Amino acid sequence: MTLGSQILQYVISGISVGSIYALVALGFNIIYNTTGIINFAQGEFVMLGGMIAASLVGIFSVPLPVAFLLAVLIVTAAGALFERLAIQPLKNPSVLVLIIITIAGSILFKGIAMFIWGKQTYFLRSFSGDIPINIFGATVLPQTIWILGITAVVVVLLNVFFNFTLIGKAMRAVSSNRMAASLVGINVKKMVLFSFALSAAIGAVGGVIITPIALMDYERGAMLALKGFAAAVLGGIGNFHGAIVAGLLLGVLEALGSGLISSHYKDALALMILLLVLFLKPSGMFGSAQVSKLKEF
Amino acid sequence: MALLEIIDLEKKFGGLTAIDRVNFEVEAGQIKALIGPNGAGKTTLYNVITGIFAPDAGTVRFRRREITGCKPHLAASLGLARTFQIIKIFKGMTVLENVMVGRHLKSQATLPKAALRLPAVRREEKAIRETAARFLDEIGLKNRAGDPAQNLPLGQQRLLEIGRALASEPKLIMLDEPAAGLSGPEIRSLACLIRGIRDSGVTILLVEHDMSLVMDISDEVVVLDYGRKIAEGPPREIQNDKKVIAAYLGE
Amino acid sequence: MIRNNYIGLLFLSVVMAVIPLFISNVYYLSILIFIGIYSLITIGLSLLMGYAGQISLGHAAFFGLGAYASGILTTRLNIAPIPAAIVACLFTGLVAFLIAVPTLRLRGHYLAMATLGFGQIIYVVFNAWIKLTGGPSGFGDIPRIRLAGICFDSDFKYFYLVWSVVLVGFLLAIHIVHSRIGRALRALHSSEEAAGTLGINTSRYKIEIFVVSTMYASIAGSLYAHFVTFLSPESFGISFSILLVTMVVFGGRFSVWGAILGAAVLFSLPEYLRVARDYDVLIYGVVLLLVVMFLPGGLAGWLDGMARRISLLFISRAPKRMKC
Repeated sequence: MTLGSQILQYVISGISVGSIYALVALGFNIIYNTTGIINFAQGEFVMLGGMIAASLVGIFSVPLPVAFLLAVLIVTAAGALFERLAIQPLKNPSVLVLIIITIAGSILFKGIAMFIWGKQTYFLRSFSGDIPINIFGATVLPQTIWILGITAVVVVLLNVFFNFTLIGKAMRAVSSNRMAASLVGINVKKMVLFSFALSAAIGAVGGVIITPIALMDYERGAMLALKGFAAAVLGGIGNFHGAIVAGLLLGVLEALGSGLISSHYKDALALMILLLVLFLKPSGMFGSAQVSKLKEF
Repeated sequence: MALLEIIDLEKKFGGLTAIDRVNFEVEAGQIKALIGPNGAGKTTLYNVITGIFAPDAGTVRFRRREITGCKPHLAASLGLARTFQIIKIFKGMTVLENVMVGRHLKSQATLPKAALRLPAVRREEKAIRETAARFLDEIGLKNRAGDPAQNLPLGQQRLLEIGRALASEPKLIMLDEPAAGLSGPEIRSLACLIRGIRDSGVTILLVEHDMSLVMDISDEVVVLDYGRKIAEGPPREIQNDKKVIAAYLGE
Repeated sequence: MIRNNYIGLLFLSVVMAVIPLFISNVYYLSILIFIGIYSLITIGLSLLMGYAGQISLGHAAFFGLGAYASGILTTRLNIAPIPAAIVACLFTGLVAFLIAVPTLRLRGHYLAMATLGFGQIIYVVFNAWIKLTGGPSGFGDIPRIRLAGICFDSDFKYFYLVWSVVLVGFLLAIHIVHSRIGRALRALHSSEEAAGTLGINTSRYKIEIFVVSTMYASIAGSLYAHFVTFLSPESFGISFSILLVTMVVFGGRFSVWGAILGAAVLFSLPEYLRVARDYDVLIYGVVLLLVVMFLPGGLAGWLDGMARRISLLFISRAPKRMKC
């Protein structure tokens, strides 16, 4: 394989993993925009989506599309339940309390996953077979096309949702000015619940589409959350388009770094990028510096 | 001698000019008031002077030293203290402990020495407690020393903030709307307190909305409107100044 | 008052001095040793979280740095355990300082994520730098501690060693809390702006207390290394960092006593419940959630409130408390 097609290989695999980082980052942004909360449990939604789909197909022989839908629905319900039980009852929580609560949530999800599925790794069959396609010398799995395609569909749907539906616009109103939104009759509490449910759904989609390539186990959530958060911050926290670009970029950088330099330290790369952004330009690539300074953290 | 010098100070937030080429001085031994309609930029000015924000242009000099944009603890170490419009007493600590924090600049124990609790540290702790109790007594809160600070009524919380700031033995204390939410008699005893502070050798800069208090105790008044200084002079002059009247009526 | 703490500390010392004489089963002794080691970390962490109001989701990494440094210095360079532990402590403090300077400028979620990130990076290094650390398979043969001619190779002796260190660490922490430093920390936790205007250099103090808390963790790590004599990176990952935070929050982060309480109860809880080692994760998650939602002061805060209510029943007038 020539160096050129090797690099192309890394870039393509980087984009597919990067799509998941982008989806996680989108989930972070949705909740953050509506509530100002950073949901540390975001990665667990991805994990649960993958695990549920894998069990439904592998153990119960549920047809794949049905399993996909069910996994997303179940995780959405879990996200909504989490918001109702752990977030909504809090009165004027401090930042520290919120951080601890969402961390506790992530531990709980992880613990439940370990209880149900144990510690082994789970496998989900690819959506349309495993025969690789050859593009300019690089081998591309069909699943990668699915990942890119479904992510693109999610992005388009989100765009439509936030720009053309009443609920979507209501959520944007809440993130722009909570007080004003409630004054015009928007049920802020419902919007918060909705944001958690929507984020959970997006995360679950990510989980289902990546499991055929990357497999899934109960511990994956934390790393996914960290990297997704790195993407969110890199793209400018709260900025949707930034999240997508940053997620893909992060995936590609990780794949290139791992392939060309060393695979042992692969995980550290995303973390270093996160730290560099936090230290040097917390507003990320596309955020505004003044806005990020004024945001109450 | 000019204790505090504000020279050509400017501060913008996005498109909004909060402070627009403001110039004035505070002489040692004065009680100087800073007034203006809501949104005139008074608290922003305080924040820039004490270093919470850096200005976009201009200079702040305190005791002839340039402190423009320096971190708050630097200005404090030179003898500049302040209180806050939105009260920032230390919750979770007692009234006495709040004042003891005010003694921070007048004590030396470092972390290693404090951890070992050397005899010198123990002596210093005793001195801090006794001095803080004295300051507490001077502002009339002695009988509340052991209470949690957040349990105090508003008026006493304001007093506590003042006492805490005084405990650092500043040269200049900047008060931010100390009379807000106080009753008539409370405001009168506040006036008494402020005069007493000046008599003990501390210069005072005062942002205040209560005109009777301002006219009663100030030596000089500076008026801001939309971030710009529109008048400066003794209280009588300011009361009759057409520009000032227009600014307040137009509010 | 600090005097109450001295009395409490004396009482605790006497109890700990006497306990091993009544325990015949070595298993219980080793549990108490682990509680001691973890308490050392939580004491430092409570200074950081409760008093200074910062958060660290990566403290397991500093525990690990102390453990690995001690292990490597004693096995590869044949340095004696005690000097090695001191070097490890200074090294950890230095790493913490370098991390703290940029990180503690951040607040809230950003700070939490940055500490999580650093903890993970260090964990990745433990796994990846195989030549130095042995990687995922770990490395062993760490020698026992020798001090004044005594070799600390039995649980009985190690118990006294660990708890002596814990009690000294506890004493130092109490001193810090009851000093102008402690007040400055609590002040900057309550209102960083107001603290600054009183002359408190908030950045410097945040960094100082962060470094101190990591040095506590490092010493605990050294004690751990010479006790278990075998290290693997698994013990130093996110799960343990979160467990440490759970212990501090549960015990009561506004109290140094809470730190020991938290470590003691949460470490022994899975033992009492006879739950498999793995499910403690679930228990900790539930505990964390419930405590944060319903008991903000943690166990120590709850006990303190109870004690005050009981004393009010017996005393007609509540004594004026000049807490310092």
